[in-house]
Amino acid sequence: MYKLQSNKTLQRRWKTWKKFWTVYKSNRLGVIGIVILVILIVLAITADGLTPYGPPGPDEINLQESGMDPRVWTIPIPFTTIELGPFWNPFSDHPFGTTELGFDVYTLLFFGLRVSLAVAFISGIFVVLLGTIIGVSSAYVGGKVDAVIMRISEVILVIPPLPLLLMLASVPEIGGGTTTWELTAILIVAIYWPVSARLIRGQALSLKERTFVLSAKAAGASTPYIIFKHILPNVFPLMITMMITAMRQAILFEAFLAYLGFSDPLNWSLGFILNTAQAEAAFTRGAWWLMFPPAILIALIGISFAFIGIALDAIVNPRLRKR
Amino acid sequence: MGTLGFIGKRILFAAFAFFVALTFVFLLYRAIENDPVNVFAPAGHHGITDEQKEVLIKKWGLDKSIPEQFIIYLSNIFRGDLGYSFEHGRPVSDLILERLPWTLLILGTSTILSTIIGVLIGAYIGWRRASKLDATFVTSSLILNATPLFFTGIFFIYFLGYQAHPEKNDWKIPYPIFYSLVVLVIIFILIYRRKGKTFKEKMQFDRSFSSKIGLVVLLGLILTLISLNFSDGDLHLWFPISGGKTPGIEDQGSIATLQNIFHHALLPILVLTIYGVLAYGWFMRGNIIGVLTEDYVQTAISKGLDENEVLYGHCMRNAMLPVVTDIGMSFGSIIGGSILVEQIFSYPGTGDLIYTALLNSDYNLVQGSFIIITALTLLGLVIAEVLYSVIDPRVQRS
Repeated sequence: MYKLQSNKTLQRRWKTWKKFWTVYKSNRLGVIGIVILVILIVLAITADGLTPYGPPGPDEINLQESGMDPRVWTIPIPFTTIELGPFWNPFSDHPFGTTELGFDVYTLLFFGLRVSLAVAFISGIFVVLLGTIIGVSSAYVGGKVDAVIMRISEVILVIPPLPLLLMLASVPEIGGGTTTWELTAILIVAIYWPVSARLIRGQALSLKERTFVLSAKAAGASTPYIIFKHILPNVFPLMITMMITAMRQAILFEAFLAYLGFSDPLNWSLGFILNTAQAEAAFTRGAWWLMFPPAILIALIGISFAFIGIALDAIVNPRLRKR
Repeated sequence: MGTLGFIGKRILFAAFAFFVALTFVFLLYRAIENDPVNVFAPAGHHGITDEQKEVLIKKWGLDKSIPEQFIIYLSNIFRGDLGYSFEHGRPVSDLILERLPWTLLILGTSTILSTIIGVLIGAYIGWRRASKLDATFVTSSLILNATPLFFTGIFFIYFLGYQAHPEKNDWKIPYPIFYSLVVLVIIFILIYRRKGKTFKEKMQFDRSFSSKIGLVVLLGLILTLISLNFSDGDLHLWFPISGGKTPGIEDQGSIATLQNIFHHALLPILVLTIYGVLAYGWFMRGNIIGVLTEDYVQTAISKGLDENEVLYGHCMRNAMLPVVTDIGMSFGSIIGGSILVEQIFSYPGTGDLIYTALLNSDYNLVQGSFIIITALTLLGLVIAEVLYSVIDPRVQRS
């Protein structure tokens, strides 16, 4: 239910954000991280306007199999009449070169950025949502439910994550043969929620015993009221830092899966470009432009998340700020 | 509750987790899949005959109900029978046992190396926190942490494998020059770390210091002599980019074989070690910073003890304790990393085995490798926890 907020509350909220931004600004790494991330997000959103070609769609995939690509056909090739050469280099019409089958890497990079960021954001958000729901409710219900949930999460944490992810992605009945990007996000949530659930449960347990919660209880507040009014606002900073960590992990998990070929063939992610490079033996044939740009982009995303995480940590734990 | 009770509890938990993993694998391939016969005994596709198919269906009870199948599956697994790989035409357990030494070679070496180096580096950097060195370490480890492991591997392959290949670009340095460079760098670091502000103060004569430098020079000379004995005197900056050893190298004698295996393992070990050193270094740095505020450290410092003695004698002992569990806990992710490393370097380990099995839909092999990997991870975890509970009994209470 949407509640109209009074002017005073809005003002107070605005003040909090301003204070937050002042502290955040003082951390140089955090500012660098957020600038990089914003630039990357803008590039991903405006991908359509940045390149003359579209994303690799189903038609192109079919043409790819027959070895021809219309997007390269339409480009006049200077001084030569030969058919499509493998691996156009970056000094040709294509600023980042092409793959062996003539996909423009410059185009692939922007659309790949879009897919990778989408997987990271969606899985990060859902990891934290699921973790909060499970963590807070398990802290509040307690008893056997709590014990069972914690045992389950412990088991999931103990099983090696990457082989587990690979196995899940390879079962043909999950996702009908192809690992779409939504499925990748779901799988990442499925193996990563215990981390956030355990963290948030610990925080909720310690909050439950604080005086302000106890006094609210003594005053006759209901459990939902305490959870929404006292527990969640206090868990919120932890949720945000956890979300950033989860997004950073998700980028790496996605890149791992896509690099090994478990990726959406219709929505190329950055990792899948690397997989193409590996499949086409790009490196041993000297086509470095297929390897370095996507890998550097993945690293940039990860670095920006890491920097933001550090800055947020410094705000959440004021003890760290003095160091 | 005593130590034994704690150990028993952890072993019980590991057994429970293993059972859950077994059930999970079973359900994944049998309950979701409509026809288990199609998965575990596919007709024709992998070239198995009808008789073999009949035997397999009977042995794994593939035509029975799910609960019955589960019991048969468990009893087979606990008897050590992990199934039969169609792609390789051999039992799964044989295949894994054959590949396991390769994985253990690169994983074991890199884990040991990265623990030792990471703990020492992390301790030193934690001691000198908020310095330029600390800032450099923090930034570089953040950047490398965000870089996927496979990219680092590919990077090394490109520059040290492909670009430096003798046919393309014969980069080599004579051994004497290489070792004298290393010796010079070590001497420079030793001088830099001495007390005193100006260069003159740092260079002041001191018997223990000059003996240290003499030792380093001697070591460099010995290494040079040994290496000159072994090769033509040149250090090739070239590394093979695939495989565990050159085929047919066994004919040239055991020393040549060992050298060849080492040469092939060097780059995978290097990649894994870099990430391990950063992880343990980061962890150790945090621990040391936490320990530094403790009373006994402050006492040691105010007593006027030598810096090294405080750091390596007092701080590190306590800060190192959590690293033991961390090694056990990170076993799973190390194994995951080995899948990538083995796939990049085409290294013939279990990671490569499980990956090719996935590509070929060889589900018997996938199932078997996953069970073995999980068992190894849980074993490492239990050993680490038991060790830790013996070293630091406080943990038993939490």
